[in-house]
Amino acid sequence: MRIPFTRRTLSNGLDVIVHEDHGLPIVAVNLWYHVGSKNERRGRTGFAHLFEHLMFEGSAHHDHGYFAPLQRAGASLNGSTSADRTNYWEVVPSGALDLALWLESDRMGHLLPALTQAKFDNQRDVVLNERRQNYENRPYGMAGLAVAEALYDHEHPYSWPTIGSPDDIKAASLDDVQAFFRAYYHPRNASLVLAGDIDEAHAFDLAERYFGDLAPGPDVPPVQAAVPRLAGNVRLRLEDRVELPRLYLAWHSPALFADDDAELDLLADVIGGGKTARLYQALVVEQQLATEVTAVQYSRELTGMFQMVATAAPGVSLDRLALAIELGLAETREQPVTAAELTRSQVQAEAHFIYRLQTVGGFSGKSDQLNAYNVYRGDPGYVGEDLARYGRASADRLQQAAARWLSRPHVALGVVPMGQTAIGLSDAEAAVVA
Amino acid sequence: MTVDRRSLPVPEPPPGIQFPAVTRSQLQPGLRLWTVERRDLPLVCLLWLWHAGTSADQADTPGLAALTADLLDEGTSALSMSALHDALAGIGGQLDTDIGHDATVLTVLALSRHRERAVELLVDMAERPRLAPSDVARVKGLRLNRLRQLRHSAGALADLLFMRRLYGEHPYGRPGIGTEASLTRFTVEQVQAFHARLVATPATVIIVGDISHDEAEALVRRHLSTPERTPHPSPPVATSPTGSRLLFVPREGAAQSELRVGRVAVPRHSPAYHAMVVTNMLLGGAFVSRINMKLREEKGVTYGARSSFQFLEQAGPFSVQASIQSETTAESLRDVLVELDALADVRPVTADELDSARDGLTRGYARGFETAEQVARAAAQLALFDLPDDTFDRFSDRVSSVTSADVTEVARTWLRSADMQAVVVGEPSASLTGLGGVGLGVPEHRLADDVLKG
Repeated sequence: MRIPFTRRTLSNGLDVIVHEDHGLPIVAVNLWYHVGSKNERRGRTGFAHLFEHLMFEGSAHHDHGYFAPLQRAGASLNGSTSADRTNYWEVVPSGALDLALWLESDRMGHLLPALTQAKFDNQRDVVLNERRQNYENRPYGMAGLAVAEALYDHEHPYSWPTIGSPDDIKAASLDDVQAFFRAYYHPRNASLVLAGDIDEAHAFDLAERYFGDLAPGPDVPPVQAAVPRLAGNVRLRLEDRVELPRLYLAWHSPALFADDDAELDLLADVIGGGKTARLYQALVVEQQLATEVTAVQYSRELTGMFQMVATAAPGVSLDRLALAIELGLAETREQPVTAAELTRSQVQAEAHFIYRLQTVGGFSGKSDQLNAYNVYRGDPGYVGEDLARYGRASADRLQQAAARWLSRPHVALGVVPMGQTAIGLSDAEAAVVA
Repeated sequence: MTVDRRSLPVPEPPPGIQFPAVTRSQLQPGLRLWTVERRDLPLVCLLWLWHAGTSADQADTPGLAALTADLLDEGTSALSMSALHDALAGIGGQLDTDIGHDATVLTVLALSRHRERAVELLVDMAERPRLAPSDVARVKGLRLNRLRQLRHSAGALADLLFMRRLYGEHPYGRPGIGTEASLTRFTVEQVQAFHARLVATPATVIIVGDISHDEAEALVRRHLSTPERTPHPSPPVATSPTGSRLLFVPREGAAQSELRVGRVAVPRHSPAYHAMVVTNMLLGGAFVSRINMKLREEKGVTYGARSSFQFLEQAGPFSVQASIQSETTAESLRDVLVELDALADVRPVTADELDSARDGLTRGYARGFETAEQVARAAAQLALFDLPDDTFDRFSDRVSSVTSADVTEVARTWLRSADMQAVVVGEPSASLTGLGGVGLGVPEHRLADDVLKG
């Protein structure tokens, strides 16, 4: 498995990675800034994401919306912010590549002169509405925020949500925007991929032409955070406008690409990936205690989280559901998974890698993968090793990973319908949600 | 060489695109096989399309088609549910079951080295699902729970009530998921009878990827069993029933209002199809469209607002959709209505808007055919609506020939505020304020149970 590429670093520190794929007359532009909500601090959350919105509102030499010239050129485009990074992408017809690079480089080098209080106020309102739509007004929408608050220490950068707290978002100022831009939005903290119907030499020429004269910017020291630990199990409850109670179980787990990361990813698939998974078979099909159950190894740059989510069947208490899940988990700690289970999950992993090769752009397309490997591993060609990790996993190693990580203290959160705390977890405290 | 930042680079127009060649076979009366061979990656996408969807439900059995579709992967005559999913996982399979008003679709993405097994599993699920009593009971229960959960999903509730308001008793107005009453009632025999009718419905099998047409045909034929297929009757022509034009569903403590505005519009075969696609693009189909620019970029009252024409066998809906800050609900609804009327007269489409909409559609068209699944689903549109083979190849020319007069005509005929109906799901005090004054009459209250209970 490989995605052929060439990487060069411009004199200002910008990494440029080129991948040719002439299947369709389109080119993907994918730009990562190595900054996310983990670079924020308590009391000032939500800023990296709010800033991402401002990147679409015009820059010094194009002080109009960013979407208009690109959409009429036939582009699709978007951006996203996570705890670890912020990415921006356009997929354009090959003939519109200059346009996309002109615009991307203008907002990397010359955003601030175009930034006004009015734009800022407008996008702050938009973000508050994004939060209402995707979290506050969505069933179980606040659960993930409550789990993170409980799992991490109050000052740990993964303890607050990328969307931020409403109070912090409202308190953000234009001065903050300027300081943030100067600290993080420059070539030294960015990585650019051009993938698709383009000649490699021409791609590097274009990158040099549009980005080569931008100032490098200051060094961005890596975010430091102590290895998170829980002193003991935490049991929480959250009331929400929902029909059925739902249980969230979360453990600390290895960071992205660290030892045991791939093993826990495979284990998550064996116990909670689809209808063939152990816990689906046990809880949904046989015992009918749950209506759905999933498991995921959610690994990020600083550390990971292994999470299980199960929705109770009507009349089933979360205590009973938690007990059934614990029995299933104990089995994975005490016995290896079967050879058939392991092979199946390995094939699923391989297939997932292959299916992701179908698109050059967008979220998780080839250009986004090259950037992820470059930013997190310093090696755009890491895809082969990434997949090889799954091939090397053994049933013994899955068991060891389960025993090592899933016997430690964890957070259990029960979400219950308003007023129905009796069917929630017993001895649970009210969850705190910022 | 430095960059001239005084003006934006002018893009070169992209080359026209050619939809990949589709090889076609008639396997049986009423059963076609269409393939597109692509050898770039070791994968195959298999799609089984039945020309019948939730519209095939009867008035007193809403949800039967969707329940049956949901049971296709709960085991086959050869494999138990768990064995079937073991087998699917073992070939790298990603399975999707989709049901719409006019179609039921099974899709399997698989590694091409397992293509024989993939075809076998697909045909088995389509033609010989197990439909065992215990599985039917379990899946019925799961779907009932899902239905009850919809009560708390403001967006899903708004969609269901909107379609009910627009279409009334017409099949497009029924909740595809069914009602509590209907789901509770269904028997194994009903499911089996519905499936027997479904397998006797015309179907198209579409296979895209690392496989030749001849191999695909041989593999599909090896597993086919159903002899004869006859079409379901088409759904009747759709019109809106009379009644209140503004429905309000209270949701205590809701953080926003879910807003739907729209009407019954046109079928896929409408001669105005391309004019409507262009009109929607500039009105609400893209980020830069009028409605989003108004509500998001000017007023900041939503994360995003969009509009769409849904093209179906019979007249599908036009709708505007947004989640709106509660206290601006009435103002935002009025803004939407003003934008709709403005396009018909006071602010007709500008030359720049028209160019932008047409170019955005035509120049970005190639992106829609990148993955095997995108190609398979595009081919499924041709199959479902019986569209000419060159539909995608001619799309750009047809869009480019849409004029501003055509857009104005669409706006005058289809987008008058006087013809709109609306649904709001929101916090009763904040969202209701002023709602009666927007021009759609007095809001009439509805409850989730009005559409979910049955």
